[in-house]
Amino acid sequence: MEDCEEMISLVQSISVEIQQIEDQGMTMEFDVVGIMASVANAIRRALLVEVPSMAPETIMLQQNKSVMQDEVLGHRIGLIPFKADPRKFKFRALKAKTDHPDVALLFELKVTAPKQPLKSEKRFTNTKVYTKDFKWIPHHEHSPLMDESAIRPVSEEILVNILRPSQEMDLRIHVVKGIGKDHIKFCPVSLASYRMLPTIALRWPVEGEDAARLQACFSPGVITIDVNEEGVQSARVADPRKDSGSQNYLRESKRIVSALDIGTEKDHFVFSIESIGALNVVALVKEASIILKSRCEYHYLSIGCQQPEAK
Amino acid sequence: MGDPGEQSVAGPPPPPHQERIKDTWVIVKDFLKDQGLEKLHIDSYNNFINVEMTKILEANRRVTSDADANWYLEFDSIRVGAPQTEDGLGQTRNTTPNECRLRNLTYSAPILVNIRYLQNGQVQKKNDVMIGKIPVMLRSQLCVLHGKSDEELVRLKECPLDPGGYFIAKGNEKVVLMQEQMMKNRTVCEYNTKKELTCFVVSFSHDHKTRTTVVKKHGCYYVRFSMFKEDIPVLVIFAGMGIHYLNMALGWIGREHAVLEKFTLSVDEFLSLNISKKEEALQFMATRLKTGITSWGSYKRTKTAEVTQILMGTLLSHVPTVNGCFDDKAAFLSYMVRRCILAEKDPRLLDDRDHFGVKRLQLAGNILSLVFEDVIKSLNSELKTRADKNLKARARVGQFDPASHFRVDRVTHGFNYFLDTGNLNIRRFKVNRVGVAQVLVRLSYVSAVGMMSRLQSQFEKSRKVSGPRSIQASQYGIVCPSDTPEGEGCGLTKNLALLCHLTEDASEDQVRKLLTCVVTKVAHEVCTTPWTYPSGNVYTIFVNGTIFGYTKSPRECAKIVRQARRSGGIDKFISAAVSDLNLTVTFSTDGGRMCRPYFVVENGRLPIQQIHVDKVRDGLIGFRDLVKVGLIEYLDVSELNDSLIALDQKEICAESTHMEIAPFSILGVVAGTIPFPHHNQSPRNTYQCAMGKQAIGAIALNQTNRIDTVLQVAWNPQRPLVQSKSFGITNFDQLPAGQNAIVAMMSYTAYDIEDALILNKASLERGYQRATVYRKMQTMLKSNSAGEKDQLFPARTNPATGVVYPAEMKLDEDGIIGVGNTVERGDIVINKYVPVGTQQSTELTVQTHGTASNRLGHDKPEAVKFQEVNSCHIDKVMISQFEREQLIKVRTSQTRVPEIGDKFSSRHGQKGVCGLIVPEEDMPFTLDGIRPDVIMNPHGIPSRMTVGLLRELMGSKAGSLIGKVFDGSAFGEDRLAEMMKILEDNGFDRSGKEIMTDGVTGKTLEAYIFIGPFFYQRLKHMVIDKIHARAKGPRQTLTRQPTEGRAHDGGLRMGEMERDCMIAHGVSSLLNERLMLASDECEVLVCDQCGLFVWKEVCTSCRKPGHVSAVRMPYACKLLFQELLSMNIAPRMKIVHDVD
Repeated sequence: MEDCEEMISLVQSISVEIQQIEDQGMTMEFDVVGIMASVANAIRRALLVEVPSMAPETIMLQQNKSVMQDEVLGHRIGLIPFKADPRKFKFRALKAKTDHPDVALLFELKVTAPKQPLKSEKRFTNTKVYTKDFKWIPHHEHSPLMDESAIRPVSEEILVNILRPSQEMDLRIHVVKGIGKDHIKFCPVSLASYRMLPTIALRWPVEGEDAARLQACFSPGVITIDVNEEGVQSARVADPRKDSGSQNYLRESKRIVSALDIGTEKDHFVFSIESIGALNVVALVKEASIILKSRCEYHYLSIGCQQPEAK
Repeated sequence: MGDPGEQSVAGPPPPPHQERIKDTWVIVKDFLKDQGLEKLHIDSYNNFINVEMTKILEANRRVTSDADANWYLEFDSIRVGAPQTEDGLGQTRNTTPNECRLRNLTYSAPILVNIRYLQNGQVQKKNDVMIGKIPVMLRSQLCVLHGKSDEELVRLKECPLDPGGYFIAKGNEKVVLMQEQMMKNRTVCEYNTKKELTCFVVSFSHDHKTRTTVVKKHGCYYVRFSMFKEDIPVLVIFAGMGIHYLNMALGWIGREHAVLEKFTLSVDEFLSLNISKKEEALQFMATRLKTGITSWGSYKRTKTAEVTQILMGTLLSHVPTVNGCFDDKAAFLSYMVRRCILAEKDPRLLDDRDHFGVKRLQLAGNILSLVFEDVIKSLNSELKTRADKNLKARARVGQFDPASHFRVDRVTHGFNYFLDTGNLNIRRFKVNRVGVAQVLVRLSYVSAVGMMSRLQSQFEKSRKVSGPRSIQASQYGIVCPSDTPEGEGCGLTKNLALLCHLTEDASEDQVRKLLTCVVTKVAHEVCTTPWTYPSGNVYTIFVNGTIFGYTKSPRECAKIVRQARRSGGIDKFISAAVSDLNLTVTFSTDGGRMCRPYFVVENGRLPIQQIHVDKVRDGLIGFRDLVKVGLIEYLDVSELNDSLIALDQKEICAESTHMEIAPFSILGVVAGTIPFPHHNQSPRNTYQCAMGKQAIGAIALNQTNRIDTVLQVAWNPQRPLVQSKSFGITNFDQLPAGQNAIVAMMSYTAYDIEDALILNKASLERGYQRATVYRKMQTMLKSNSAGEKDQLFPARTNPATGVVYPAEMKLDEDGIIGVGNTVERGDIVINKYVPVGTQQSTELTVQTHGTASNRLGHDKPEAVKFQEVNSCHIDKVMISQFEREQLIKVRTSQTRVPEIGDKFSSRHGQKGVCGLIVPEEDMPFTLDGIRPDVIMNPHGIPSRMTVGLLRELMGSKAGSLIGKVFDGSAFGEDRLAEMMKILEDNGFDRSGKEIMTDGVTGKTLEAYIFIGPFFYQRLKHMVIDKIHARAKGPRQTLTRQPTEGRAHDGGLRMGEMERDCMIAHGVSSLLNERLMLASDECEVLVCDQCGLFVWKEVCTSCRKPGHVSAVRMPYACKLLFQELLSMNIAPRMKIVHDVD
């Protein structure tokens, strides 16, 4: 199969290089070289709307005495990201209300603002309800491995509501597995984007005052200035990656603009992914790849091709 | 006041260098804090309560009786109590505005008077007798909210940011709009509709108004007055006043050649009339008196005495005749003649009726005082007739106690009628106006505040005149140039500018006293000495429309008054204006003039210094203090014409008299919300003013307590990233309407043509522009005279099936729907039953549940049903108990997520509907991975030239990068260069454009996209309220045609033009189907012979057995034929049967 060989060589030419991982694996920048834009885009799209994550879906509201209307509160809680490994859960059936441990996690939020005497200054005390006030109620079937530290809201400091003295909130929620296509609250990433690597080249040396002007046109670190023995300053492209894609250089004199050769590396994609917090980025990208792969397999099968050899 | 004339002679000295004064806008802020636009209403109401009311009572204090000449009743004093409500059984209790709104009450307070009257020859006194209830303006001194702190207001369930200045009538908030009127007692010289040159004056006296006109006809001058059948030659009037025409009249009219020349024909005419004595003139006029005109008083006068009376009293009634001396009146009449003569030669001297200097504004207080005077007069006349009747009666039952004969309801009803209907009818002044009081529009905070500054003019809306509609130069700084509706009210309904202020009445004696210090001459001196018009520099001095005297040093006169005003010696609102064109010096002290504060400039220098402004900013001194020390003064429109005002310090020259405080204050409150309005094409700002009022946001801080008919509330209102100064000053930043969104300006798909927007699905899911719509349903449980009450019943079960009736399923035990339920169309919300007839036996009215079920069969169900198409949630139920009645209000709520077809707008008159909702992954993204919330089509920009929109986006983008709210105030905004610098420093392109990648293909877009945060408003128009279709449905009873309109589930009309299309297509069967089959088809029987309708097989009109045919026709046609028959026209149908 010629196609197949070509394919294999194409796949072999793809290189992936992780540039940086920060925030305990929650943000990552990595380069993929040798793919087409549509492939890069497919990864991005899968990350955004197809990789599952856990989010509140059902709210059982017992009491809400705060000024926030029930529906607003419900919507607000729905957008709180929860830390739970979605891979350990199944999708809950549509409109089901069950809290079976395979499909849902049960949380409780019960806050009562303390009563304050009417005359005292304390009557204006706000009781702030944060996500840390959510309490996980484990199902008896839950494995003991799932401890409280693993199952909780992603951040403890998300403000949910503000209560005035004597106001109270009492509610329970089901956190279930879902995908971003259904509702954006299930989206596991806050940023999933790529750009093509910029290329900046100088057609001829830019020296003297022009060098400094050139440097000012770009983001810091893109252009450095070397000084030779005679004390002449000349510009050198140090790191085009740091360029922000602005066109501010166009404002400079024709002499400088014509010296510049600016473009992009057409098959070099710089990915920036930022996880919301349930899974680390590496796991998310892996999940996305698995989804893409299964999609590819599905399409291969549906057009009657054989499944290709493993990558 | 530096006299410009004098200084120019000496050569203007070079203006001394002065430090630039910064942040002058804090003075505007301080000004609005204690005399903002809504305060105008409140101040005028307070003035009415404190001053006018007593004055009116004073004028109508005594009631006498024809039956007993000795009997009298006198009002001693008047006061108004605290706002009260009746709690049944005559008990009263203080009330709050919020209670009145919720319980559909009128927020009013009792008017209490102390009276003195004669009884049995002895003077009786009674204190605090109630004569009626007067509506209380919110936040006025009578209101419980007056002087309350924010916390106390919140405790009263009132919004601290609410402007007040409106009334609550039967639970509705009513604003009495400011009324624009022509000034009283002022001469107007113009060509009338018959193209005659006229000069007229409408004089207002205490209880009536008259109009006196000098008119030029075939070369002569006449006086036209409603009491004379025909026009009277001017000189005859003079003769009737006993004034010799040659010496005196000409002395006033003018002895210069040009004037005499024009007047000779009048003199000739007068001479030909052969009138030489006063009596002859009076006789001449007496024969021309209108019949039926008799003056007041019971005794009869001779006709000539009548004429004398008219000349003394009604003719030019605002000019007093002191001790029978007609000099002032004659001088005024002469002035009118002189104006006519001069204006004929120089059209510049003709008056401009639309000039704002001759307009006066009437406020709520003025209008209420008109109503009050009317009701007090009718109260008195009512009392008089009662007294007459009672005192006349020989056999009196007990003493006549006038206190019990006050028609309290008359007074109360007089006020309530005015507020409920908005109609102002004052017979004495021939006032008949509709729409004076209007419902306060609570669509958004902007709309409510905007309404408080609204100005209505008297012109008819339907008339197609351009003069009063177009903006006048004299409206500068007084009226907002942008905020006016489009269409019929355009230019007639206006809004006051931020710094506009209205004057209150001040005594004119202050001015008169001052003027006696300068060289002036009175009327008598002028006409008898050579000191008269021909010399060319004699200026006429007017004080409030009457001639005070004449002077040769007009600037001197103006200066002395202005200096006194600046030093605080006289009222700060007294104005002095010199007109070199008309040779007049006009002083005004009357109320309702529009004026505006300016910095005083003296000798090319600003006396105000930076330290003053800083102190105002720090709250150490206030605006009033600056006025008191003469650093700021008010100029009214006519004085504005006589001043040279610099827009900023650079423009100050030696002749400058004043400087603008802050240029953005020429706009009104609503236009003040627009960022960079001076970069927009002007109609766009006008559109935005109309649209900003429809934006959904926060209405008030007490919005959760309110139960309005419709209340639309945004979930997440945000402050805009670019604000103008007036935005913060008017508290719009605390109750905003709209959200900041990332907007990309690009074409995307084709669903954004014609101003459509594309929204990001994920943004909507995150709550972008979400809103809740609250609606009210209410009913009253009444009881009739027989003591039967309307009742509520809980859900019933169907006896046949044993199941609860589905429509009643959600009812609680009390017969009202439970809070939290979802209601669908047809569900019963309040299960009310009304008793039928009076024949019911008393036992049926027992209210226990056991017998109540018996009543079910007798009573008529009158349940309140949920009629909306879309389901709602029950949000709140309110039950209010009256003496024998109950008011039940139910509030429903509905969440509205933006959908395709919903309307949005920027703050630059750029509205559009949502055309497509795109999943987030398909949205284009920038190099940073930013995906827009909204995509806006750039094709809307070039033709509309809303550059302010582009600047706002730049400002928001730069502002969000450095955490600053940029200033978009008109004429003093933050610079674009500054924003671009910030963008550049933060690694963005300085133009605001960015490289974007298509989310569908993954490829880079070929164009750079202008993208950034931007403030978008959601407007109240939503598809869900408008979507409508019908297959079959209700029909009208009369015509049997489908009903019209969405509310009645109506059909969509196939009108004339659609019909024309079908005819043009030649689709006759389709036409037949649409116009008849699908509408009002009916089958009638027609007699073949006579062609008339029959209803039996046999024709009743021919009375002959013949063939009868069934004919199908539109029911409307059948109806027409029957109507024709009823008026003796017989339309006969010719029946032709098909041959086969």
